[in-house]
Amino acid sequence: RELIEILAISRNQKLPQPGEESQILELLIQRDGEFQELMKLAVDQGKIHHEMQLLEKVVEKRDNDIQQLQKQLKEAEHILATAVYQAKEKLKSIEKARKGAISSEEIIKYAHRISASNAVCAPLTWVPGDPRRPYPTDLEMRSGLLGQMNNPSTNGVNGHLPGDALAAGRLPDVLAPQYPWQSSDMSMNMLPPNHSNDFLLEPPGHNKENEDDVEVMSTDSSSSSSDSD
Amino acid sequence: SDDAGNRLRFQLELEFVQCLANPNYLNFLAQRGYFKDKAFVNYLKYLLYWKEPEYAKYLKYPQCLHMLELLQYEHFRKELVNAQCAKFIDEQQILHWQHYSRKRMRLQQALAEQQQQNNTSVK
Repeated sequence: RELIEILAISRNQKLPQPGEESQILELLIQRDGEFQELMKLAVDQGKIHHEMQLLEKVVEKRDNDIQQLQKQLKEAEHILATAVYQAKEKLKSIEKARKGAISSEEIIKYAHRISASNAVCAPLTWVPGDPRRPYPTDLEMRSGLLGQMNNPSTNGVNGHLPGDALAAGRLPDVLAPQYPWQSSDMSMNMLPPNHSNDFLLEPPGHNKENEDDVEVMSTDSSSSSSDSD
Repeated sequence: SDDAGNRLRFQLELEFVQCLANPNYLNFLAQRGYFKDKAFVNYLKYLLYWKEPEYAKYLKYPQCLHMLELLQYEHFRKELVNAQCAKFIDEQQILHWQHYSRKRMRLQQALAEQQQQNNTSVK
């Protein structure tokens, strides 16, 4: 604009510089050309920008879709994990029940055995003063195998360790039980497990101190490396 | 013979483990220092095999198993030296023992009362 103004003013002034005018015109045409090109460029860029916006929208939509899918997968995983866990628990309890399976007849027999003898349930006529108890009484204990094991001259109920009795070599004359708490119907296959008369044997690692003490007490050696109390 | 010896051992251990249900006997053992004997404590641990169903079914006094479990703890063994402790356990055991009888008596009473009510209302 300024160029045009200058051109107009110089025209009016009728300056004797025709060369300048054409120069300026050429410059103007050049500038115009550049300007037109820039305009084209701007339009193209505008189109690209528009496309970019469209693509961005599409990307956003895809992002949302993926997030939705992710949420659903998480939910599904959670539900499945819960279901699997509960199924495993069920299987565990089925296995447990199967292992503990006992015939109902046996249970009823046993229940009758412990109830009818008033072992776990007091007799209905029980009053304080009644000698019956929910455990073997003194009398019962003494008339059992254990009571008859030891010398009757020792008082109370002795013979706690079967090892003692067996070592003493005494066997009772009468093996027939007098009270139902001494089993008479046991099968010959029923044996107490892991019997050793030596209950002093402990798993290794235990009781090292006591062993050391014993060593120290039994030797006169002063070069013993164990700690003594 | 070995068999007779095993049978005997079975009977003896069956009797002994059930004696553990008697709190007075436990007090007796505690006062004579048996619970301080390592061999005896090991023996109590060994007796835990009576918890298995194939052995437990021979127990007339299955409550002895509860005592046996408690006896595995040194604190419990120490406490049993006190006569009051044994007495307390004895009382609780007897009360628990009477639980079902009392419950049944209450039910019978309730039933009897109800029948009385029915009779009077019918008249």
